[in-house]
Amino acid sequence: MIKKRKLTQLTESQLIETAKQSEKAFGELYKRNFDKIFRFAFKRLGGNEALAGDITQQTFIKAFAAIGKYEDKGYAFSTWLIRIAQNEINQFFRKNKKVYTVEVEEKHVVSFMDFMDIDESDNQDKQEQLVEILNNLKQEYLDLIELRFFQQKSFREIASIYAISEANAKMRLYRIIEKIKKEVY
Amino acid sequence: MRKFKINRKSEIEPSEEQLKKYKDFATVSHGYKRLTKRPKKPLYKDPKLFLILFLLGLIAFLVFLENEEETPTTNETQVEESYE
Repeated sequence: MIKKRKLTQLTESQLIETAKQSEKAFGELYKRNFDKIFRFAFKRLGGNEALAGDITQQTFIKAFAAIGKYEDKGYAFSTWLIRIAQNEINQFFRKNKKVYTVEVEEKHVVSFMDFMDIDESDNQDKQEQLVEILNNLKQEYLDLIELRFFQQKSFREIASIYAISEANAKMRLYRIIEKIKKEVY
Repeated sequence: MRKFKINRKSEIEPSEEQLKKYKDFATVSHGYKRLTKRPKKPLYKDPKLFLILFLLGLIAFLVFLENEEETPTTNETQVEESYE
């Protein structure tokens, strides 16, 4: 009981160090981060709860196996977990040869269009046209667009997920946006 | 491969019930043990590995025999030379 109380009182970095030797400590990390990772997978898989559940469990199993190699670089532990989840999801899409449909919320498409200065962002035909352009993009480009605009991740979070600098993340995203703009106009 | 489709009806957010349903550390712990535990069977009892080990042994044996056959011939020449 005392041990349990102690684990809940530990800071994240203390807990990570303890989890390198203790399953219970990893259990506490699981408790603290599960909701965030499940939400991430759920949204990326367009609301498929069973698949999101599988991906989340797989993410934590891999994280547990690799926690000894984890280095604290000043980002939240959850961004490391999101990176693992992102790889798991991409692997799932690669393995599945059939086309998998992912739903995105209309409001996110509208805010993306506003960001790109596309007129009539509430025009449904224009929205569909943009989604069609997105669907023809490379998967790696789509990942970035999805993280920034559909998952509302900050550049700092995106940078830590890809293990690149914030400036590099911004540059990559703006290049993709320029490509999309050329196709829209 | 994935394609986007616009959802115009509702927000894509898991409910509290869905979160509770899939939050199960026992599954993670079990999965981790399965991933990291050593195989129950000793390696030589694995049929594929046994075959590989057997082939390696056979090759080593044949190489050994080949070398063995080569060494007596050198002895013979030595004997012949001594007769002369």
